[in-house]
Amino acid sequence: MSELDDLSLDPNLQHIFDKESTLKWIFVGGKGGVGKTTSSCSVAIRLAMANPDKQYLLISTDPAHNLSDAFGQKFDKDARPVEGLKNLSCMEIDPSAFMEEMKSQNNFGENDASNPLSIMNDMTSSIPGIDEALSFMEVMKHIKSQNANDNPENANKVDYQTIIFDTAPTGHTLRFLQLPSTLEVLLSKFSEISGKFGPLLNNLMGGAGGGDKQQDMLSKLQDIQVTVGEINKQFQDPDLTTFVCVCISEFLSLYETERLIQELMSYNMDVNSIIVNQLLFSDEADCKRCASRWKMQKKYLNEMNDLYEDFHLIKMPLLGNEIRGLNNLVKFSQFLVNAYDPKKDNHIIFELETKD
Amino acid sequence: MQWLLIITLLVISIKYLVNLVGKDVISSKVYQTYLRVSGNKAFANLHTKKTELRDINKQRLAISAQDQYAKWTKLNRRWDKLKKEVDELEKTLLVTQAAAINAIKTGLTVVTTGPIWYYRVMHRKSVLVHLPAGLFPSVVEFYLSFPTVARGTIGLGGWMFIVNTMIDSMELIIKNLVFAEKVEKPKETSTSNEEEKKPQPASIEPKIQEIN
Repeated sequence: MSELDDLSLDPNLQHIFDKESTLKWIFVGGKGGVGKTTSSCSVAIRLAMANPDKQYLLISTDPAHNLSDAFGQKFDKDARPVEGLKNLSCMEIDPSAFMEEMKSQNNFGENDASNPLSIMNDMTSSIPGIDEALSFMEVMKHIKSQNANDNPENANKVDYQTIIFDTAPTGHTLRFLQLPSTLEVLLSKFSEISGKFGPLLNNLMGGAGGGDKQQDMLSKLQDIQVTVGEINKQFQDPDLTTFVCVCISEFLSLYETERLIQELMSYNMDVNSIIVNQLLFSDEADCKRCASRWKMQKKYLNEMNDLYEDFHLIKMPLLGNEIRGLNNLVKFSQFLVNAYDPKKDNHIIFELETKD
Repeated sequence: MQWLLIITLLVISIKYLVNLVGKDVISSKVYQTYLRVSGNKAFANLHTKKTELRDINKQRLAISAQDQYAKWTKLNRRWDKLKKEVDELEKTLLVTQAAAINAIKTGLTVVTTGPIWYYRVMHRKSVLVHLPAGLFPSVVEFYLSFPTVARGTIGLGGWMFIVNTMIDSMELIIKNLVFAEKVEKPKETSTSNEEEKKPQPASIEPKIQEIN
């Protein structure tokens, strides 16, 4: 049987935490309530602990401020190091705050007829997909800064080894991942059109001032096009980007995970790890309910072993309390490196630190 | 000219049948039969794949998703992959199909209306039936012969009118005899004598409760 064991992949995320790993982008995602934030924080913490000389960034666009809750520390749109783990920084992008800033910066002004941009006031307050767009803009910023780091002027800018995304619980994640290819197509079409009609548009805009703005816009769009193309390339490179699915061992969660994996594969994004959370491991339990639920979870775990033979399946235990605060997250995240053994490790269930 | 009588009758009956069934239905059935018979490879491929899809769906519905999750998911994966292939194939076949169906429809139109117009032109003055003298009143004879043949005979126009009316009447009869909805026989009400008193209905006076 040992031959068969060798064929299956290790039930841990060691391949991500290895020093040889070249991953730049790690997405952690799954349906709501399965422990995405706990998992993404755990992954980020273990990465940071395994490579103390490198910098890591954990980004969340969930407006519910889940990273702040998880670490017990206030984060915002500026990356801030985690207290107790200096090489890990967190960033919480709040779409509504961003839109407020945009408004004040660009002086869209009062809703008066003379300023045509004032319609933006109403539009920007609730654009669907704004969270994806914002995360995407962050990604673009970092790609650009990576290229800019060759420039000695930017030496003091922080260069993150890997950026971990705690994705939104809805299907928006997939739309966000689709953005690069969609944008690339859009932008190429746009430059095609502007190439043909550019001079005409210049005339319509009228005057030298209009012409300059046009050129400016065009060159900016071309810049964006190049960056988006680069992002597309990086997201489809399995050495640079990977997606970690988080789920629980129940039918609907597994079904959603399967759909997520199929869709990710259609975007050519590498997905090779599944974290299964909230497992009971109650083989010798006194509690009948735990025993019964564990039996159901085992059933699905066996099915998953069959279905996801070429995936890393990481089995995480359900602990006695919520996992909040750096110390608790460190304790929990050890099982991402060394698989949880219910006989040896079960003491941890009731060893979480609590505030009271 | 008996052959003209028969041919006209046939053509008009066929035209009626085509209208009844519908040009779209007929042309698509003809096209599908042609494809099946002619051994078109792409179509045969599509047919196999569609059969496989139905098969997989049957298997999927037969098992419990929760009890045999792995098997169910594997069937799902196969189904999704096949569905993609089927959609691609159908897209490519659709173009040729549209062209062929249009051709068949045109053919049907020509077959049902062409001969009639041809005969109308070529046999304008042909007499199809000689009526025995005095069989119908002269007004009827006039309309039967209108507009191109002599009175007392029936030409193409009159014959077509007769055939059309006959088909319509037969349709009416068959529809109402065979395909009409059944109507329930109404219940018999008592046709009693006026003198016989109807039994009084139960008293519907409200019972007034004593208020204490």
